[in-house]
Amino acid sequence: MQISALVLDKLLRSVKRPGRYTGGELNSILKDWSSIKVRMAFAFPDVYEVGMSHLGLRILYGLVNQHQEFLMERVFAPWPDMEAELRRQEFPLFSLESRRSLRDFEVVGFTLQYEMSYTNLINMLDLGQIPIKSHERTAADPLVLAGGPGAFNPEPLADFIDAFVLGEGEEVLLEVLEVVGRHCQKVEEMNGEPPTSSTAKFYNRLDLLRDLAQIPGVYVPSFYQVSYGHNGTIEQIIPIETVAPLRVVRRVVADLDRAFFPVKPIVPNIEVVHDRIMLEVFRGCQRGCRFCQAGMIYRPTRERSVETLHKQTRELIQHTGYDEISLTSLSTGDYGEIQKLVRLLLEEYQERGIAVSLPSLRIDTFSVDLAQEVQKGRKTGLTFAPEAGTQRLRDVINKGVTEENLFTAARAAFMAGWSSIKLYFMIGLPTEESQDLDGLIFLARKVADLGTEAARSGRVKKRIQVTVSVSNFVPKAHTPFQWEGQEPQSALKVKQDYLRQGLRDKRITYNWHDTKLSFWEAVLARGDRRLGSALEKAWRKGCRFDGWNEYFQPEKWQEAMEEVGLDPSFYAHRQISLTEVLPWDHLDSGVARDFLMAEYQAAHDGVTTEDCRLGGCTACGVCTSLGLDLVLFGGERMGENVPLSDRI
Amino acid sequence: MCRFRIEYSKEGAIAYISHLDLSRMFERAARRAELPVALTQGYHPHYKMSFGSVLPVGIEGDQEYLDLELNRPYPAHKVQEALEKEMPEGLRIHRVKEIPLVAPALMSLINAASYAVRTRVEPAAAIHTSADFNQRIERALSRETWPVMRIRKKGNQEIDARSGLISINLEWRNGLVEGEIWLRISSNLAVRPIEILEALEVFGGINWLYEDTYLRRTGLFVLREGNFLSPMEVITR
Repeated sequence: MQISALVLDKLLRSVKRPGRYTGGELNSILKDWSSIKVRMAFAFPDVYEVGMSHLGLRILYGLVNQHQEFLMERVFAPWPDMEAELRRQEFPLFSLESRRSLRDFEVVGFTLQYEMSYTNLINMLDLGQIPIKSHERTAADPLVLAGGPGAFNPEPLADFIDAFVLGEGEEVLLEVLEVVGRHCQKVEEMNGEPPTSSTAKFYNRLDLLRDLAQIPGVYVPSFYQVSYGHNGTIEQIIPIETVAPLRVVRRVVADLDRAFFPVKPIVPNIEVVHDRIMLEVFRGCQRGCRFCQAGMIYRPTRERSVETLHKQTRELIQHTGYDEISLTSLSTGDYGEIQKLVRLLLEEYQERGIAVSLPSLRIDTFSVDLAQEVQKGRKTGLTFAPEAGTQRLRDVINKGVTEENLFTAARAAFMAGWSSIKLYFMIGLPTEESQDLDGLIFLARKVADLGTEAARSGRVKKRIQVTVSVSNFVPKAHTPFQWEGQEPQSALKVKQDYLRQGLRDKRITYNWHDTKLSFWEAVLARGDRRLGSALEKAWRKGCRFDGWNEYFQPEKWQEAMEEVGLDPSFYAHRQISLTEVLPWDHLDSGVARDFLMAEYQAAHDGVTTEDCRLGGCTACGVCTSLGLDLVLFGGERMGENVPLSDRI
Repeated sequence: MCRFRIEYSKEGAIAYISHLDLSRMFERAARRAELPVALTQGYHPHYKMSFGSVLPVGIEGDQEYLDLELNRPYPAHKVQEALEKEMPEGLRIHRVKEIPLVAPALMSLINAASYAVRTRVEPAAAIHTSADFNQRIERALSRETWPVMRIRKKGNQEIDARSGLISINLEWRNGLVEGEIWLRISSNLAVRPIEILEALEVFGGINWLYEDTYLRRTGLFVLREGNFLSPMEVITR
């Protein structure tokens, strides 16, 4: 079913921010459906402004649409006002390009960026007139895929998703679409009848899934059986189809420098969260912070060369007209030739009013010179992430920065004229004690004092502002802390209160995260497939946009869990034994379980592990098991200002 | 330095883009076209670009205007070609004309707008003849003021919609109403066409079906001695 321009107009008149649903943006691609073999919708389970800021979407959209036989269109979670209109008028959720119902596509692929978007995923299937459960789908329904970091513990979504893709989509998606294409009904076999919503898309759905399961990196959850012991823990996870591998291994792009990167990305008509050029300078990070999932599941570091990045920037500016280039990665200061790249870009573009921005700088690689060059005139604020208040706890989490790193960076920034600094911390970390909270308060106050000093000497003109943002630790799959339980909400709240008291200072703004949200995030992050029924219940009770304060309804989640007889605390709070079978044990990120266990032990011993780019191989297993190596450009690894010994 | 006046139209779904987003869209188009647009001074330099009159979200515009300043001499037809190539779906460049740097801003020049209206009257209003409809319009017009409430985030404001009305010409046919509304634009008050319809409801007893109401801005003008002139023709005061 296709939504006409007239219907669209009626819908647009009755919702807020109608620009979310119009499509037709610069560089969006509308293909002729009749000439295409496999049509895929990229489904982002959050609102347009968030989804359009996602680099993965830009990459896969460009990649798939390059191929004559395939097309990709976009669909985002409708805001509740639009959902109400769609349901009231009985219109299906539609793609932005051709305005077709989701169920018209052969493939609908979701990206799982955040646990709290899962109810939106179910809602989008339902609004797209696709049966929400995998086993209810017939040959007339699309194949429903999901990928992204959430696919590393996909079990809570096992009932809803036909197949998950583990790892980097640009490496595997075309293979998936090829296989789907072989299973699609040919138009000439339909006796000249035009396809309708009940026309079979595939010859046989089960055969399709069997072939998909043989593609490395593809996980078909219905081909695995999970059995549970009497105490609720998992006994074993076994494949029940002969074609299903014992372990599904993550797919990785070996040579990022030569990999596809879209130089003609869609330019949204309305302002989105990251409304700028996103230039991906490298992927992966081996710093090895023990709470960080991205630091494990995107290994190893693969850099792009300055030449490639330079060329891509030129084309990106030509094709988008943006006035800002953001150098993105997990830790941009770690890029081998950061100085060279930044200078090159500034030289070429500064005069034309095009700015360069560096998000995610580490304190230890922070160079005031660099930051100053980049921010000429507009000092928008700097963000540092010490994560924990004492050296002891920073060693436990393996955050390789010191107090001195922080003070040096903050002093330099204030002296250079910055007036506002943001500090990120986490509480509820394993082994945390009251001294660690005192340490946090001390660090924040000391940074504020450094600001005051700079202000007295006349180096800062504006009021000093230190923003302290404190999040709650959430254990994540495939990290050394996956076995660690989350602290109960009551304990976290006591800590939050303690910090609020301790950070009472007119120079300091203190932000904290809702413990309820962190709790449910932990439940899903460590959940098994029994959670599927609770997810469905929560959605039926009206849960949507759970990551958005104004829509989050924790009491409905609680009811949903009770009704299906599950204890959320079992998932969030439990200290899991190292010998237990984890819900994601059959999924292999390439990082060895032994390494994660050794890191867990090291954390409790307070021993740090160096980045392998500095201290030699740490035997995490990624390079050997995936047959890869680090890809680094430029000889001198680290910034020019900080001696090597200070960096860990 | 040189300055250009540009006439463009905004049609279709792009009408749902806000004024701020539209202005960013023009900036990006100019950057893609590699036009040497002049930058303002200061910490946050931005393009020297100024619009005629803000078009409300959801309303199409047939003849809208913007002025653009470039760093160096450039032929007007090249500016036109460059921009035309870079316009997203729904935006079209009609004319580009070089104007003196000292010419007054569009904002201070434009003082009138015309709107095309297509709407329906609610059956409950019980209007059965065009004579009845016209009478109700006359009844509303016979009042000297039309106080209506403008709903705003920072406190509502009462405005006199009548003072912004130049003329109105609506025709009723079996419940369907089509026609034109001409409005004054001044720095202290720019009445919206929807506020005119509201006033006709309150003071003429014509209940509209707002969800079936379509408005299009057909033109922006310099009203001078009773003549409606185009800002492309009237450059100076």
